[in-house]
Amino acid sequence: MAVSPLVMHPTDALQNPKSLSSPLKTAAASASAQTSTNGTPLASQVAPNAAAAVQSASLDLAEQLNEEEKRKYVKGKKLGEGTYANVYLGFLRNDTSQLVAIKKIKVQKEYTEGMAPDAVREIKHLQELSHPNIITLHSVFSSKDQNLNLVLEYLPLGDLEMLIRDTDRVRYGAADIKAWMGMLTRAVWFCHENFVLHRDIKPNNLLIAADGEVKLADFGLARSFSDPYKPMTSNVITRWYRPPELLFGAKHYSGAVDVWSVGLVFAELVIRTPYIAGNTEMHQINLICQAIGTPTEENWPGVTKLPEYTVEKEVVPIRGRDHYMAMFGTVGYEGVDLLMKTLILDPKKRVTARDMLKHEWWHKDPKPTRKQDLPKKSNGQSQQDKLGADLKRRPGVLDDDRGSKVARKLDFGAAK
Amino acid sequence: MSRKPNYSSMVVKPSAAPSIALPSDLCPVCKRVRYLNTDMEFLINPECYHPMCSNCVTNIFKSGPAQCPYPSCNKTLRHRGFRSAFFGDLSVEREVDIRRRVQAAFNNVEEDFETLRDYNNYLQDVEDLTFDLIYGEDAERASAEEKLLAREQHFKEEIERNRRRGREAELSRQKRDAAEAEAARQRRLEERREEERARAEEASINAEVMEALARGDPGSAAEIQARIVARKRARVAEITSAHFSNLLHTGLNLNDPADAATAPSSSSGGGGGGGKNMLSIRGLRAKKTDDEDDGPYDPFAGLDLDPTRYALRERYGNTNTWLDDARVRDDHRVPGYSVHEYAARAMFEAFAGLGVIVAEEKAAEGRGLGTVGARDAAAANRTAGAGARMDVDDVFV
Repeated sequence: MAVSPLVMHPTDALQNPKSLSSPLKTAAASASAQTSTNGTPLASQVAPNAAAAVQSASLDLAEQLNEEEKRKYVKGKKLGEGTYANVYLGFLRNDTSQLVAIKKIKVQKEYTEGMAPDAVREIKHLQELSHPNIITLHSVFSSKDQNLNLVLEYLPLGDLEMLIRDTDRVRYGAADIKAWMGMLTRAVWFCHENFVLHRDIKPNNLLIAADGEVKLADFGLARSFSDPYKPMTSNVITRWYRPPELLFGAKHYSGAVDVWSVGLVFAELVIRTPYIAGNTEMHQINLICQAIGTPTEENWPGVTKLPEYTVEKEVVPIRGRDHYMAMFGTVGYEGVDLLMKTLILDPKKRVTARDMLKHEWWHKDPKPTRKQDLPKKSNGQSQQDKLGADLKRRPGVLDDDRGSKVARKLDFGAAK
Repeated sequence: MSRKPNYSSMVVKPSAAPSIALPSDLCPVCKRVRYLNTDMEFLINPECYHPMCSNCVTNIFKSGPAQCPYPSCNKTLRHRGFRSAFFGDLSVEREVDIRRRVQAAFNNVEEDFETLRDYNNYLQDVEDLTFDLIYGEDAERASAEEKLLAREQHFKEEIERNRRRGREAELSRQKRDAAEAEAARQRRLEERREEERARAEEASINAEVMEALARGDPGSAAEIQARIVARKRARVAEITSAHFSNLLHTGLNLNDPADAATAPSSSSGGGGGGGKNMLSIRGLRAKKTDDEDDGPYDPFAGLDLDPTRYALRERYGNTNTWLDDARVRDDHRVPGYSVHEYAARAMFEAFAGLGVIVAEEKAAEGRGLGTVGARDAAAANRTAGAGARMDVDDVFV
């Protein structure tokens, strides 16, 4: 039909914007094309394309690239809303089976000029880090009003916190904890090897991919290792997971801060409740003193010189191994040993992420669960399956107990 | 009663014309009769399956292993091995014992095989072996026994794995069955309720007809009755059909029939691992494809990030005093600031980019959106390291 030449024209224009001297001309051209096809109810079909063509012709190179990137993805329904960003489900325009998450940064009042710093941090570090246990940043583009959009890997199975909290429906064991810890530790190790401090490790920043892989996400507080004499803020890491040196206001610290958080995530995975959950920073310090021991000059030389060093008068001695064994014994002797090493007060003595991976716990029984066998949050799928199977049966037929006592096959092994 | 089979023993054929049936009244060894010993119980030992009363067992074997008291039998038996028989027919008892033992060793399931034919062959072989053990001549029995022992010894891990998997599958099957039963119960309840409602509607016809007549609705009595009955029927039909259309509707929504048909059957098979994996039972079938879960766990997941293009020294800055302060100052030292990390980073950045091979980068660019792509990329990541760190002002610094 007469459709094809009409559609062709604007696409042409899109691909070859230089051939057009002005957007007006495009409009004129498309208009003339329209009139030439006898009468035509087709205008509405063509209009968006034509508009795009007009737009792209008027954009500079950067804007065109941005537009091109933007057009690769289609934004779908909203998945969630946070204080600083909305997250949408999206997919590739030319392959709708490829799902992505599009994180649209909200315009923030405090940062009217320029981009929000957390978005900058996130982009800056995620684009450098490519590892199976770190969320992948596929692309970045800006939409209208210069809203920043991060195209991230779509991780549909929630986060570790959901699994930890859902004590009624989710059961997991030492092998699962080991598998999760392995993935988390590798992620942190990879960050540190690339000189990035994550500074916000906690269970709800550990997202779970469709295949069960745990991925470290939310690099909104990340930064690269500081140079000497260049201070960093001590006001990072969610309080429950914040190490003592940050609570004492240190300005020069190392990857040990992340390791402390990893240790607390480990503890939380075992006891399924946050191990040291303070309401205020003072409270947090007190709880650390009680749970682990009071930081003193003996166990942490120089600690009293830290700017905000304050502990209660009565000194709690460092907790011994039996204390940890009683609480975290399910991960075995080696697991407890690793945990204790991550929760050493003095950051210089605290284990590094690399040494964590060299610990013998990983090689002890039980072997870590394969990622596809890890517990998942109970979603509607299984219920739907069940329901579907249910509905196939004739209604009103008694079918519950019949046959359930009969073995499916002769099983001599079970008869012992 | 302890019916634990004694696996350590050889599978034996009852020597010398086995007394097929468990005696009921007379102990063949001590000739005591039940009439005088009402609590008499007969025990057998899976070494030779010769029955004798519990008294004999205690008398003969209490003080240690001894020979079987049957004249033609020269097996040495132990007190521990005796148990009461489950079956009256001792040849059945023995066959079941043997089958149980074979089953424990050859515990592969259909999913372990690539094709149905392989599985059937396997079953055939196992059955042949079992048959040899049970009914075979001495030579056959010995060779079958040897095979079984070899399997038990050399495939311990695999056997254990299969067993565990079978148990898990069984557990999940039970759970699923329970859930299904519960859903079915709920549905039945719902149906019963609706049925009752329909019945109640029917039942109220008469009352309503009387009422309408009493109200003096227009039309003759027969008309009124017909009208009300018709209305009621319609309502009853509505209730039931609403129910059924409901069912139909959800059924369509949830999954197309093909799905529903395959889902439960495939999962009830246990494990649902797919058609891969082990087996190779003494050369008979050579379908040895590896299970993906094997090999020791590597905490680093195969990634080695140690620098390859330079050797990192323990200490830098011997000639340059700039770093000295950072090593000793309390505000750096105490909270764990590491000069070594700084040096490592400086070295890394000095060498970053030197190893970049553009062709590799291009290949990495085409990676997919999933985990697999990310993993591939991770392998190639070393080169992509810290190429272009932007220098952005940091408000939190």
